[in-house]
Amino acid sequence: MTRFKAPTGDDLSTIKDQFVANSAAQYISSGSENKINNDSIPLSKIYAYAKGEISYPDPKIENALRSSPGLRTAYKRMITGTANYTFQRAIAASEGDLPTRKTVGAEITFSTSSAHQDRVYIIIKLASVIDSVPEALMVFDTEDHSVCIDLPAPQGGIIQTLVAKNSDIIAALKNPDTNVILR
Amino acid sequence: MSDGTIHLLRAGAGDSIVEQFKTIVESERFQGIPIATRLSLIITGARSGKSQGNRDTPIYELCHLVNAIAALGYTGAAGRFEFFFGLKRVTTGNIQQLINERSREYNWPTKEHIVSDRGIKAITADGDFEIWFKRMPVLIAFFEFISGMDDVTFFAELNDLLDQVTDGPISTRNIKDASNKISSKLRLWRRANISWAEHEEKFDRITPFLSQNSADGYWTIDDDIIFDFWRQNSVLDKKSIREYATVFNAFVTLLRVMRSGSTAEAVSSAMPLGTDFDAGEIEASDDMGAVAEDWSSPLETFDHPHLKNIGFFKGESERAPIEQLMEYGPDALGLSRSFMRLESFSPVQSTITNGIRFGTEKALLKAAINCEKAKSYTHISETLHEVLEHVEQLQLAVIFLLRPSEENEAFKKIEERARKAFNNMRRKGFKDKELNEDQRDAFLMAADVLPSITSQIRNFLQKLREQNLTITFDADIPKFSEQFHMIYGERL
Repeated sequence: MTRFKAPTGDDLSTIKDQFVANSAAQYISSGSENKINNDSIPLSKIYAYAKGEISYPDPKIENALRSSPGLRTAYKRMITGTANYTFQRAIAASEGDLPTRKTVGAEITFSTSSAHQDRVYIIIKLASVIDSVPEALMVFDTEDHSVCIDLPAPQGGIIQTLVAKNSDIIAALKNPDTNVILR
Repeated sequence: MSDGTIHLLRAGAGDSIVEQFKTIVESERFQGIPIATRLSLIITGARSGKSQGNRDTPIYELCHLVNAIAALGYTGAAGRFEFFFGLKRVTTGNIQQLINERSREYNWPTKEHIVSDRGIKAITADGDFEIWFKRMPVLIAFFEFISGMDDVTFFAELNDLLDQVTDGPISTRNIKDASNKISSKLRLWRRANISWAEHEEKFDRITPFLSQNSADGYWTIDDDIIFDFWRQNSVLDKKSIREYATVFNAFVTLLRVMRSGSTAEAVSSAMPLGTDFDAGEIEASDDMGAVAEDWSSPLETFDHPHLKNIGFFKGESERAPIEQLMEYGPDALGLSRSFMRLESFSPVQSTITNGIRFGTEKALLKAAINCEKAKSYTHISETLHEVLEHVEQLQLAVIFLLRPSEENEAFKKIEERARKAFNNMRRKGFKDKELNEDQRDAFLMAADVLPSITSQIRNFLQKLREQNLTITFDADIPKFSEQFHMIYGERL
């Protein structure tokens, strides 16, 4: 048996607040035990994805990013935090061309492959490769939808990779309003 | 939700909260780390442990932690993400190791921060503030939760606010300003997402009942009161609370809240349950009442991925019988008969409600309503004895595996028993006498919580010895059967 002096006034109100908060906490806690299906992705996993610890593209994470603007913004912020180079919007090129991008210590240009007319080289010139070397190129549009490609190792300060002209990454890079990040 | 008459959260919002919560506490990095109860209390603003008296204290602690880790090189948003999202296993030990390493690298102590065996102390003009290592896992989980609030739309603002906390030298003003803004956001979120009305309903039902049954201005909470409340409230025409388990749980919640004002201890101060042979901490204190407010089931630890592969408990015969006893902890001791009723008759009630839902044949339903298959109190007690015996052997076997390398008086006294228990423990994970580092860590985790399991069962059995279990069970069968007839009889 437990006995308490019956609370009144403010004390009763405080106890009620606490009872309600505790009761709600129990619901959340026990409700989570009973809930079997859960497709949510923890932010710590999104962070691992942003760092490249989970290989791109992960269908479940990409699906979550597509459906949640808030999650996309968070993802971009995480990427920016771990980025080596961040390029803001480019100066518009002529219709259909790929605009050159510049930031401190890096420049991105493009060159059509003479061997493969349907392909284009993405050329990244790095002023220095002493610091960390970028391993991925990511492009974010104005709604933070993103496209990513893995990058090969630099040769003499230059990273060069060949991609299809009609690929998602080229479509995103054609848009001068996109942000480019090297991670 | 176990009781169809009590819907605790607003339609549409509840599931997303539970989902977000579950996503965090069940993510790999938190598996087996007992943070669920504490995190849920922080989310709903319940005052427990260190946050006693102010529901926003965890936010203030979080802001201090953000400031402290920035001083350890986790600067800006990138550093913060690395610390809060990047840890693969969020254990107190891992965090402590990380902070100790960084504190050496950054030449702590400084004018602003000190690291001790217990945690980090921030030194400000307004006084010192300490964040204990034991507190940090739940603060990390809390950061992850508020980061994801409102479909992650608060994430950017949260981080802008936290940037201010680390802007320049440590400033209590900056920390308070950021804390207040985050608290304000959390309050709005709680209002929008948690249906307090359903919880208030329970309180508003219980407290007048207690006052009506009080002759001297004191509320009495005992087995009779709980049963009488259930008997009255389970058959109301409107908003009845049918399930005995819901009623028992509500009274335990009230008890905890009523007690918390005077006896709660800081969350960080949870009693160490001996694994340190040098300190002679082989056996835990039997007085678990001291930590009742901070109680969380010690069985949660055995969900840790490294412990799951060791045969500590057989699910049905060794873990299931003590699951609720560990869940309610010391509160089950003070309400031992109510708890026995819960163990015996609550499963019967589940059988009845499921039977009605799925159209079980009437003869079976009738047998359930008559409580024909209720587990007797004697049977429950005998099972607990068997589990206790197992846990005691388990504890000794673990002690043997973690035996000190040098001579130790405390260990010497139990060495033979420990060796014998180990030799008899023919289970997965108990084969090698010598452990590698990972195995040792796993057994250390188990050693941390096994004494509290033993104490809890032992203390509860001691309470049962004060009762004649056969007489009480025989007396309770007609009471429950009659009530089940009143609640469900029309379905027969």
